[in-house]
Amino acid sequence: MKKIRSIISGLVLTLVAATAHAQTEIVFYHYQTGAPGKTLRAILDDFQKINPDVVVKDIYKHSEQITGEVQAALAARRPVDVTSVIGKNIVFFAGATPAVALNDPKNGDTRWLDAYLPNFLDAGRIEGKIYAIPHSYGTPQLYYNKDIFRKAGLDADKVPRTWDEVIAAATQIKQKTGMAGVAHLHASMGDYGTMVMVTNAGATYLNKAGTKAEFDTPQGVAVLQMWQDMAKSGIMPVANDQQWGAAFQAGQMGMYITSSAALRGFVASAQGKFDLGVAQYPLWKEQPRRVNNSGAAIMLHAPAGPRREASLKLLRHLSRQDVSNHWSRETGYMPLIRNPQADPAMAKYIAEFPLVRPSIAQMAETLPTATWPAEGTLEAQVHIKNMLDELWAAKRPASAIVPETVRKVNEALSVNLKK
Amino acid sequence: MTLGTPWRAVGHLVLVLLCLSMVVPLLVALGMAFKPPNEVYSLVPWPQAPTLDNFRRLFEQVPFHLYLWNSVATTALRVGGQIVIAVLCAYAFARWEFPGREWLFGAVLGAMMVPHTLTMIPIYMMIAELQWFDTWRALVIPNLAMPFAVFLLRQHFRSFPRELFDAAEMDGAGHWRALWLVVLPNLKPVLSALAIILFIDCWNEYFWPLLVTDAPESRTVQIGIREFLEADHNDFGGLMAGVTLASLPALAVFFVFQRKVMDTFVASGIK
Amino acid sequence: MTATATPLGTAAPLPLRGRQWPLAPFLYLAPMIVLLAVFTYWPLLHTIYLSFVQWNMNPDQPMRWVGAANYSGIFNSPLFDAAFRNTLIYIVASIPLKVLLPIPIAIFVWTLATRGQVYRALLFLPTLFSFTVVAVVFLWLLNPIGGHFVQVARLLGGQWPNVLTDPDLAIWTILLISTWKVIGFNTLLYVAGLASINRDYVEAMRLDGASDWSLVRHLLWPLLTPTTLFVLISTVIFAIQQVFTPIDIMTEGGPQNGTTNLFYMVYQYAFRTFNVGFGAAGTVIIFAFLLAITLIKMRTLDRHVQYQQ
Repeated sequence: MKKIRSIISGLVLTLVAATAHAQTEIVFYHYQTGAPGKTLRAILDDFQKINPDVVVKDIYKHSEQITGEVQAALAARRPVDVTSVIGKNIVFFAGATPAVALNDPKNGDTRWLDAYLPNFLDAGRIEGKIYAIPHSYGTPQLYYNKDIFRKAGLDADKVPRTWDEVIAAATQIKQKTGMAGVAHLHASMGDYGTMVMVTNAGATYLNKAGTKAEFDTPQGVAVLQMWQDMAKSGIMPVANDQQWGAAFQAGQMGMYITSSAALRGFVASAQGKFDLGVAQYPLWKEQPRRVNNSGAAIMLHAPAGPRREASLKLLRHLSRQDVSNHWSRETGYMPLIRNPQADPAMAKYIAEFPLVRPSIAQMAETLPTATWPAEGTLEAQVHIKNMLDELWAAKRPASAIVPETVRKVNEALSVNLKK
Repeated sequence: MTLGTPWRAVGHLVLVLLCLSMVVPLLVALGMAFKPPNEVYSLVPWPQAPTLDNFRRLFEQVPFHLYLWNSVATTALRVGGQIVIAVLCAYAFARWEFPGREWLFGAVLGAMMVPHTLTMIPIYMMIAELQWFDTWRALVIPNLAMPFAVFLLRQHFRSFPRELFDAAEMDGAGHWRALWLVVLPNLKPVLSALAIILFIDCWNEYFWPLLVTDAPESRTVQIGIREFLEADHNDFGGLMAGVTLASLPALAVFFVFQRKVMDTFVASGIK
Repeated sequence: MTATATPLGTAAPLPLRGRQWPLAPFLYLAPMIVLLAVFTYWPLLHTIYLSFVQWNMNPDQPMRWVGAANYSGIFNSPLFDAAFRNTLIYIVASIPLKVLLPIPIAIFVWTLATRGQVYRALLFLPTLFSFTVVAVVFLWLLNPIGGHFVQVARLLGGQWPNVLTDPDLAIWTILLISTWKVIGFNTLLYVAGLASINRDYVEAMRLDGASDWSLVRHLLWPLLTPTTLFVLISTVIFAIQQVFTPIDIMTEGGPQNGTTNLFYMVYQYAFRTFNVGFGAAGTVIIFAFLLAITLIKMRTLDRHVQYQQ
């Protein structure tokens, strides 16, 4: 009898040990690289420590390609559990891939979702179901190089407030120092940059359903003409985000308008090189500021079972206020959980780090991104990219190019209206 | 053969300019690999304060050592496999007459005319079905058949002294042993040249690894460069460090076997 | 039919042990044949089949037969117009740059004999570096903000043009870079083609009073024609396939489809927007295009070569 009992207890112990070591591996596709990439990995490692039965494998894809790459992975039946999806593509993704509704009662209680700021959470809400949680949302900022300002004879503490002031400063920089004056990010095939430009000028980028482009109004054309003039006059070198970012970080460009997500990276590069300044997005002719958030939400694709449960654990972990604020502090993305200042660590951070204050102050003026619909999205976005290329080649004015582009975009999107 | 003097001067001038244009960009890249960040935008090609820091950052940002290993392993497997299969094939065509020989030979050479463009979609679908993504199998196996190698080898088989074969047969050696004892030792120069060409071809490949590898751990060094290009917005020094490392093996292999390659070029002549 | 030993001149047949069809050669051939069947010939046929279906690579969605709809879709797409036009530009512009220009250079190098060693080694250099490396290096040199060309232009008081972002200039930039990559290799191919000339014969012709030009016309050029054809064909294929790498790294087909070609278009359809039908149909179009070029070559140039010889 004793022998049998010892055998049984031995078996039980082995079983327990085996299941304790039985880990679930989940795969997380994202586009974070450099310092934010390391921060993300650190957060995932923390999560793994708290949940030793889950292993998170993260796969990096470039932000311009992550949409296509995730689709390719799903098509090739490679494991995809949790993915970053650029905010504007959430509806497209929910339609083209087997995304899982996060507020489905089968997935446990949903209080963790209520912690998010509602206007950002709504971007992921489709017909009452929530498919995405906000994660890496940024708001566009004006970064400037105070040393270049001084060299050009500008007052380094009087930061340009409106677009007219930005153009004037950039022109002076080019004339006095020969360096590039300013650039505005285009991001995501020119889609994000265009959206922010026209929205801030008072035009509507896409209608609410995302099925029609509406920015061929006088304000839309005017602001895009300004963008063309920036290239024509030479104050903006015609390049891409990567080259502009590199030039600004190397102290070779006066101003660069890009997401608050670049903040920590710029601070690190500017150290010992130049005096960095950060300001809010420039106003268009004294109109109130209206900008859209950039960046990605997170969606769930794991099949039902242990991988889905492990993935939900990860999502809940990321939605904790302390984790979310830590992510925000380390990167420059907006803090997306309600009441960020209630977190003492966050309040202390804002008090001690003046450069982050413009983005925090701008959160109130940041609208959710426009979302593209389920079909025709990829073709339409190619038209936007071509529009920017043509604008900067400056062979035709914006008044000719923009309405033509809007027409082509609407043609591509019209397939959604036939439903 | 001599040329008139004015033509000679023009010729030399053109060639010097041409060769300079080949060398200068490469030297600039090499110089940048050792330049500290503050010298990156300087026009002077060589660093005033050389540093190895770019290499360190390269390995920190991306798993470059993995990329290098993947390239080495898949290239070795693939080139080895290509040579073995091509030698067996060329031997069969050269040694025997059998029904359908000319027709099969035409089929093998005909495959040389089918560029990868035409077959990539179904092969990609096969890889998906077999779940070969991110494995060496996807990089090696679809490319193991190299009709070009068969073509080159057959040219050389044609110039074989028949006495060698007769001698082997009289000793009672079967076809397999004849291959090892008689044929292969005489193929060494061609095989070396072939190995170099195939090595460089595989090492420098971009499109196919781009399609079938995904996870960082399985990428090869050329795709790794692209990953680094897109990953960091600031580190051109690191980028050039990666470029330098990625180019070293081909350069090394070439310098070691330079004679053999040039000789083969001259010998076979493209007729 | 009996198997005979190698046609290396030997007439003595291989002794058979009563077998009519020799097994050995087929065993040796098997790996190659199987691989070619699986990875070359079958995919070729399958591609043709796929050009008539619609599918988005999603294993849960079935393929739909759509007949010729893919072809009409491609021909009517604005992307095709740009891709086709650019492919023609790539090919036609490559001929003087990559096929013809190396010839006089090669003749000169050949006249230098062993003194041309250094030139030969340097010319071969770009071949060793991958196109990826080349594209990345030139991307840096051509950087519109602070790249070497921009800085030199500024020093000289001028303005470096937007070579990669101007829709009309970008394709020429890529052409010049790809020429840089292959011109050395093609030159060496021609030098190899000339290597079989007996220099004594040349001296004899010289003594007879032959001028440089008549030497070229009557001796060198006929010898080079086979090499020229080879270089021509590989240049055409290069202009369609290999140029993918710099396009992908430097411009991704843009700006405004200014640098895309038929191959890149197929890549975008098949692997970026997951339109397998369009991708396959585009592939078949490329195949037909190549076939047409080969036929033209056979009709015109091959006859010319035969006439020469």
